[in-house]
Amino acid sequence: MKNSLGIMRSRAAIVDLTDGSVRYEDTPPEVVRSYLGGRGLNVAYLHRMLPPDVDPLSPANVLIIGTGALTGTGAPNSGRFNATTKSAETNRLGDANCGGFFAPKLRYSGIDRLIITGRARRPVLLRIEDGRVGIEDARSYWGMDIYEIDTALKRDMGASSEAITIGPAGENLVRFASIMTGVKNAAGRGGTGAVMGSKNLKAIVAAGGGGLDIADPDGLVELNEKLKHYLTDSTIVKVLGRVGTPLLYEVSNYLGTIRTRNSQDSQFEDTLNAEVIHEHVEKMIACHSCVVHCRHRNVYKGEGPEYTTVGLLGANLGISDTADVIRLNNLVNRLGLDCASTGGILSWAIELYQRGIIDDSITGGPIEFGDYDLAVRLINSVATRDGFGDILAESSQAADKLNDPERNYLTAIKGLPQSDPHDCRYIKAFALGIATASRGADHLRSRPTLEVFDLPSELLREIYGADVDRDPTSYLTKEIVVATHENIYSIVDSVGICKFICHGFNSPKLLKYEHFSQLLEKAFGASFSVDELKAIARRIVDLERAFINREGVRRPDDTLPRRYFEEPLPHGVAKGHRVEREKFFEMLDRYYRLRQWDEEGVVPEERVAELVAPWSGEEREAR
Amino acid sequence: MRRIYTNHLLCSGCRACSVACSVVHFGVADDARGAIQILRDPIAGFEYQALCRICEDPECVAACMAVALSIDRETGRVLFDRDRCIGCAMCVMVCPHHAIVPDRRAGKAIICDQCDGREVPACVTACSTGAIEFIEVEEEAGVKR
Repeated sequence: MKNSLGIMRSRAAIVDLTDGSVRYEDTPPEVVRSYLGGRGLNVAYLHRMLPPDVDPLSPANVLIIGTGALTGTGAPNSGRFNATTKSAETNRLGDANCGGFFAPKLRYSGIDRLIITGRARRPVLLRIEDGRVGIEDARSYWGMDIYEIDTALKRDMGASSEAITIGPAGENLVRFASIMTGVKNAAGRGGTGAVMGSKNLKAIVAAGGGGLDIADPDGLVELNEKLKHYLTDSTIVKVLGRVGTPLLYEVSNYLGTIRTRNSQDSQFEDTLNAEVIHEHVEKMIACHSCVVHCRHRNVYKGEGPEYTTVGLLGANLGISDTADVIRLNNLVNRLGLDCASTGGILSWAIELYQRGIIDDSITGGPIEFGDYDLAVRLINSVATRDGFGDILAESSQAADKLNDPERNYLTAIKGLPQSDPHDCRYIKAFALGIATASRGADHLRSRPTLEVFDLPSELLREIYGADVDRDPTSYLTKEIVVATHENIYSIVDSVGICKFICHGFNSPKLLKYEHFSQLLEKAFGASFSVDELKAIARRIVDLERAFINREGVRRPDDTLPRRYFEEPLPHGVAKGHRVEREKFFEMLDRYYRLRQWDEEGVVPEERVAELVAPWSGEEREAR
Repeated sequence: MRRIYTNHLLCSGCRACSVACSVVHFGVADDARGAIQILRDPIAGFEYQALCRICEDPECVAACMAVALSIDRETGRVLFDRDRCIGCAMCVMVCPHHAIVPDRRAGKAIICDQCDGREVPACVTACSTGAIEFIEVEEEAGVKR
């Protein structure tokens, strides 16, 4: 293997909170070449370090905070990290990608990846400075919400420090608590915040250091400028920069696919359209090095809302007042709750109540859709685990207590409530994508938005390297579509760049493998060919699958919410559409064959041996 | 003569400018070592670019005991002799624009040199919102008045 990582640094600090020890290591070059950084290296470490069947909230769980290979280089939108662990919400893979300003600061502070095990005896925080990790008392911060601790840490650790934190939800081990940074950015999915809380870890603060050495300074600045122009000339980047993700609400609503009142309905009010939301926005702001600036600073002392929040705390709870939905957005951010699971779990409970499956004896009183005050009460009680909130805080694991053991009314896969407010009964590639996503029902693993663009066949052939069916309702060739998107998204997550400028997510243009390759060359003199990056992509997808296979995931887990199979959509373009079970499972079989997994969706042993082989070089050296 | 002008209302707070500055001046990506600093507070709700405003009677020059700072009589710019800087940070403290950055590792000040030698300053090339511009002083005066 040609060793051409250049000056690319991949330094890990391994912290054991039980005994207070910190060990440092440079990730072996073979492993970096095989998994790159960010999400890829995180799963490489998690698969290696975590034995199967560990309780995610026990000290044995491993929480990995890993920056992307390009994070902090000034490459467009390169401010991201992944938080990877065994999920408190699903008991399988927990992996969440997050923007903001923390990840670059962590790298500038001399550490690229934090691997945290054990449990501190009392609340602590980690402080990283000049390549060293300190464990400090955090008792005085315990109990603070996200805004309060952000303010306190800036005061105590320096105005230029950046932190990731948990709020009351994480402290109280709510299974869908997020890790937050700033007042809005969240490593939201899978209960990463609960894992952090279970370790008595309130915050991780990056305070600065020697920065990140760049191989070709002028070349990198020049390339970044070129890419900036290329990206900001794009229509979708302009639109996202003007109104942000809520623009997708209108698209889903028009199609008749906006999840409404727990997916019982599929069209909702215009009051949540992007232009209406924009009347409540002060300014559009950005994450680190971002050329899009899709974040809203709203007029209610907060940031957001994103499309996911608008959909799941708005339409899906039947709440239509624009200001109310934005206030709910701010509330979940303050408490450190995942907006997607919060909306999905609350709406599930409300439908169960509506149907008489649960009653006042468990809810403590009537609960219904469209009630903002009720939503505020429930959300607060989830974060503090008071009363009925204590049951809801268990997420999909509350199924027995909620009298819905088969989860017939929960829109979730592999125990993870669906994040996309888009009902997946219409676009079949969306359905396959959320069914195969390694962390559960989640669109950010593969969302093939191009399905709704009506692109010409020739362009599709160029993108997918095969002839694919242009009809979004067709089941044919969608396995190719999903796998192609899964692959490139695993790379964009591993270089630490935002999906909004990734080829295929919202546009047939934007950044492709060759751009990532060029950036790695300019930044570090690291040579990763397009083919190598594609091989890394397949490795990451396979290793995540091998990880969840080890935790018991098989073909029956790669399915859809019952409603998607059984109930046709009632409105709009999508009216009458549902997912046909047989055709869905044929599509799934084709997907397995394409991935070269067996018919149960298991990664073959020989492949797993290949995936872990890069570590053996290290063992040889360590004897 | 062209100078760097900023507009905080257009600033998205992304700090690409600070990174580009540190990369071209030090070969290191580190937004804390950019001569342009983005002050931002998500709770108070502002983004603001701090960089040398080329004061008419710069307090930093008066405060510099090591005579590392001087005024270029022709352009009005503050010139910085890095070798003479003793890292006392007096200039950092007196600058009314928070525009001088202490480089604590090197024990030196960091102050904007308008990217002498580059056609367009690095911060300007990095800005994606038009919040930092490199324009003729006369033109800017015309716009403002």
